[in-house]
Amino acid sequence: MPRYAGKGSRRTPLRRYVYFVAIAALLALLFLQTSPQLRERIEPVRTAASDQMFVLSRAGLPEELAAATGKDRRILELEARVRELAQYEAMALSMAERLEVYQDILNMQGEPEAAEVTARVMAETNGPFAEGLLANAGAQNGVQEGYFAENDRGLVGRVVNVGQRSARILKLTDFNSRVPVMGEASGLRAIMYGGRDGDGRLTDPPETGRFIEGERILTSGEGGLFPRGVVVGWVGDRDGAEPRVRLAMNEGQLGYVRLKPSIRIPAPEDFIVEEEPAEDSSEEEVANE
Amino acid sequence: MSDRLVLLSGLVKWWRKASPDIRLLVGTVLVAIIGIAGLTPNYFGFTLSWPFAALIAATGWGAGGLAARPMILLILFGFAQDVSMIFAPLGVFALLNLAVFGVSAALYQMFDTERSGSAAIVIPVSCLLVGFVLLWVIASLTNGNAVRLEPVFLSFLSTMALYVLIAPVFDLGRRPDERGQLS
Repeated sequence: MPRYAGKGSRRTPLRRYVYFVAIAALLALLFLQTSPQLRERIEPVRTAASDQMFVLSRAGLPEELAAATGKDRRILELEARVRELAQYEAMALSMAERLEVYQDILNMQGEPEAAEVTARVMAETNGPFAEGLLANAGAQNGVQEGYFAENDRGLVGRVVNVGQRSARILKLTDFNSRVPVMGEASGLRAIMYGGRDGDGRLTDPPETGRFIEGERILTSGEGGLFPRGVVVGWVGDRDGAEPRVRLAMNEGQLGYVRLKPSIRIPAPEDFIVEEEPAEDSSEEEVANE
Repeated sequence: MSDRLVLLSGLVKWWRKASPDIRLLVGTVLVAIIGIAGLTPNYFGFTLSWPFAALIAATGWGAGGLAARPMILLILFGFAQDVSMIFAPLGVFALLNLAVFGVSAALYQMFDTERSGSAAIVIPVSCLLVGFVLLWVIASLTNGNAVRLEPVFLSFLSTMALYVLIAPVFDLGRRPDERGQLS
C-alpha cells in the first residue's frame, strides 16, 4: 500500500480552513433558498441541470435487455395495450359521470379541449424530500406549470416546475399535496393530502354525511387546479378520524404519464370591462356646448 | 479458472501499488457509474432504495485526512445528487458529503492510528449514521414537517451493504496528516 513520507502536513490548517469555508458557503446557499425571491432565481439553474443530467438516464433499459426473446417482447406489447385500454376505461367512466351532470343541468358550459402530452418518467424520488417524478417533456413540448399528470389508472400529481425538456411532478402521495376531491356515490367534498404510507387521507369533510367505504374518489374541480371527474382512488378504512384513500395510480405503472392542462376558469373580476369611448366623448361634447 | 485467479491477483497487486491519484480517479468513476445507474427509476418493476455512493466515497476518502481534490469531487457529486433527487434544495447533498468527509477525517485522525478491526467497523457506521441523520433533519426542515423515516432508513441499509462491497476502492492508501499528491 503506498504511503507518503513526511511528518504532519503544514497545509492541514489551510485545508481545515477551506473545509469550513466550503461548509459555510453551502449552508449559506441553503439559507438563501428559504427566500422565495432568491429560490426563483436558483430554480432555473437547477431545472437546466436536470434537463442535461437526465439525458443520461434511460428508463426501462434493463427490461429491454432482459426481454430479448420474442415472447417476452410480445408480453410487453400486450401489457402496454392493456395499460392503454385501462386508460380508456377510466376516461369512459369519467365521461359518463360528466354526462350525467350535463343532463341534469342544461345549457352547462363545457370544458374546452386542450393539448396533452405523454411523457416518460425519467426519475422517481422515494427519498426523504418531496415525493415527485421527473418526466421527459417540458416547455418545448407545450407543458406548463399547473398541468396535471395521469397514468393508466388515475391521477398521479401536478406539474410544479417546467424546464425546456423536463417537468417536475409533485405526486399525490406527498404530504404537502392537496387535491379537492369528491365521493362518486355520496357526492361529499373533501381535500385529499398524501399520507406517509403511500395512501391518501381525506380531510376537511362536510359536517353531515360520511364517505362510503369502497366508493370511488374523483377530483371535484374546485379551485381549478384539476378538472372535475379525474379518478383518484377508492375510499378505504379509516385512519383515526380521516378516511384513507387507496390511490388508483398505485394500481398502474409509473413508467409513463400523460400531462394534461388544467382548466382554469377566471373569476368574474378578472374580466376588464372596457367602456366605449365614443359615448364618453359625445357626452363631453354636449357638456362643453 | 486459473487465468481468472491470475487476473484477480494481478489486479490486487496493481491496486496495492496504485498512487492516491489513481485510486481517487477509480473511486470517482465508480461513484459516477452507481449514480447514473440510480437515475433509472426502477428495475423490473421494483423501485429500489438506491444507495448513496458519494457518502461511501466521503467516508473512505476521509480516512486519508482533509484534502482539496476529494472535497471538490464531493461537492460536485452533491450538486448532481441534488438535481437527481428532484425536490432536494440545491446544496443539501454537497453539504452532507462534506460533513461526512469531515467527520470521517476527524474520527480516523483521533481513533484509527493503528487501523484496528473495531475502528474499521465503528467509524464508517458512525459516519454514515451522521450523514443520514443530517439528511433526515434537513429534509424535515425544508419540507416543513417530519418526513418519513422509512426511505431514509432503507437508503442507509443499502448504503451500508454497498459499503461492505466497495469500501476498499475508496481507500486512498494514506493516513491522516501524511503528505501526498492529493494535498
